[in-house]
Amino acid sequence: MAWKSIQVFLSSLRMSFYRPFQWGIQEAMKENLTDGQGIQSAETVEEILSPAKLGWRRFKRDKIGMIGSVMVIVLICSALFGHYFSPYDPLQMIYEDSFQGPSVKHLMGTDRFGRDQLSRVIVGSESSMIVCFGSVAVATIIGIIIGLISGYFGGWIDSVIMRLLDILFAFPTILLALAAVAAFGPSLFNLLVIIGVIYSSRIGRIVRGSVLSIKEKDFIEGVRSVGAKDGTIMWKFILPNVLSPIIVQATFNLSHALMTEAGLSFLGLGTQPPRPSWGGMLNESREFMELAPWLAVFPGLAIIFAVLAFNFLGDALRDALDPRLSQR
Amino acid sequence: MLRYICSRILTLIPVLLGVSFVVFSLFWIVPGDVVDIMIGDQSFGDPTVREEIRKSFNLDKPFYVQYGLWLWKAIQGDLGVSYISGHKVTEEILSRLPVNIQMISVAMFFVIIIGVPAGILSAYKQYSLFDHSVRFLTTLGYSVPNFWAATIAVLLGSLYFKWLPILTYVPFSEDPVGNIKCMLIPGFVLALSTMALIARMSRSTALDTLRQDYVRTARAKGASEKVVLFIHVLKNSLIPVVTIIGFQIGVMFCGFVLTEHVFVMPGLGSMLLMAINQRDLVTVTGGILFLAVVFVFANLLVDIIYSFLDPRIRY
Repeated sequence: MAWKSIQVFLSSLRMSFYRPFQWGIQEAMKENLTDGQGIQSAETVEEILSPAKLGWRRFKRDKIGMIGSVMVIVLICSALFGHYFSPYDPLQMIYEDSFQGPSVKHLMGTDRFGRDQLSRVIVGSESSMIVCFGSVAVATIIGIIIGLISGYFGGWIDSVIMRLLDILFAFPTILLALAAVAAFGPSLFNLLVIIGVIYSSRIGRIVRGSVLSIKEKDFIEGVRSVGAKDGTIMWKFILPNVLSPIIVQATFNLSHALMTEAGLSFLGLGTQPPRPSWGGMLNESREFMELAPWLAVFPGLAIIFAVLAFNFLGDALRDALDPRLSQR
Repeated sequence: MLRYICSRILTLIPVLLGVSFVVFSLFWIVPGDVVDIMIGDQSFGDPTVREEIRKSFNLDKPFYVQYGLWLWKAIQGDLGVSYISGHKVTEEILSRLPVNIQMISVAMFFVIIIGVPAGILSAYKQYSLFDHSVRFLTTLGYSVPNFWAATIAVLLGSLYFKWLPILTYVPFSEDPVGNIKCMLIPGFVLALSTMALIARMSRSTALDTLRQDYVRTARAKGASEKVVLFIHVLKNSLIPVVTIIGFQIGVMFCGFVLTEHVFVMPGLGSMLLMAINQRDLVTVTGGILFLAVVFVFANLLVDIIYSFLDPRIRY
């Protein structure tokens, strides 16, 4: 059952790149072509009909978006393979080398235990990325389910869900995260789930709004008239059409989640030492600010790099996928 | 209008109830109760004493009764007594509140003085060097986490701005000038991301306004560029900006938790963090409830102001 729903979800993700009602037309036209009756060439059919290709083309033209995606790829690689190419072991303490300034041997200097700062920054991306992508995945899945149900069924279900989301919305993110971490205890997994649940309210609202406008469209009426079940309509016909705002919002949520994770780690309530994390490194650096300012600078630059990467990507995706929302 | 405000306030009641419920139940989840935190492990202390303390905190009653009692007291303005410091939580909050209000006012001052003009000028000189640098700086300002900015500000401040006191707090009643001086850097740091947001926002609304017919009319009738910019454009592009500023006040109230922590300001944030570290549940629940309520009411105020400012919006 669960596997089946995952399959449906994945296929609906794939479908997003061919909006369903247009997809049918496209297939029909391709069949015509094989019959030798079509007039247009296959390329023009594709060019006219695939919004994903249109989006991709717009995205490719966007220099900032390209820079952003390269930065994101760098981040993901350093999170996945950081252990293999970091110059030193991030946990190895060499007391003779403590508080070394940036040099050829240690590009970003060393901390009080003589641990290499560059290695720690590289490996520190791991916990940030786990929390970022994990929490956004949680937020997106919960948000999609909530938003679809709430927007599609309407009525009292909608009112109840929206009131619950209002309550989540009434808390400032960092405060709720702080409270929840204090209650459940600081750990990477808790952080991921907590941030995910908090951000699911945003995604949920966006999905609900889009669903409300789409469910009145004629093609939904058409699908329903041939006897499609509610679940099928939601997953296969509504979801693919609301995916672009979800993708855009999810990308921005990545940067917000990163900031929240770093902030909580900075307060000592996020990723726990000895596991390196950017926020935690900044926290440790505060004691030795005047002695070793490089300890405060580099983790911060890493956070800015990551946040900029996600923001660049988000801006470009918004311009490409959702031109109505884009600013000048 | 009155009807709209009333209905808006009425819809707040379930939200506030929900908020208080979430806050209260979060700390119900914490393993171990107040007594365990107060006198240590289960095996420790006289059982009858334990029972007495439990009674005094109403812990012997079921969950919903406890919640009801807590809520009833909270509505009356009594958030309980901290069992660590022995202070009344409400008094503690009120004594620390001026620090936050002051910091937010200083931050708002910077936002309005720097953010709004930068945005409008950059729209006025679209695609100029100034415009590009403003856009670059806003992107950057939005991506810098404020606790890092605060850390760097402490570092730079202690090296270069020696005349500005840093990491010290002087109450207003003792030395007004010194008090404002020590608020400047924290306020500026707190303002950074909001400044970026406001500059971006006012830029895009000013761009819209500049293309309106009445701006062309104003120019056609011979108004000087100054009059066009400051009377026609500024006034008309401020509506969305005002609402964002209002919303950001609510956000700032919570953003200062981190900033305050770095600058060692005796505000609500440091109270909350200390309470979390000491597992002082009464203070934590009280503080979080207070901040959430402030946040909710700030948003309500923004909605009401918005409907006043823009008569086209009718609910």
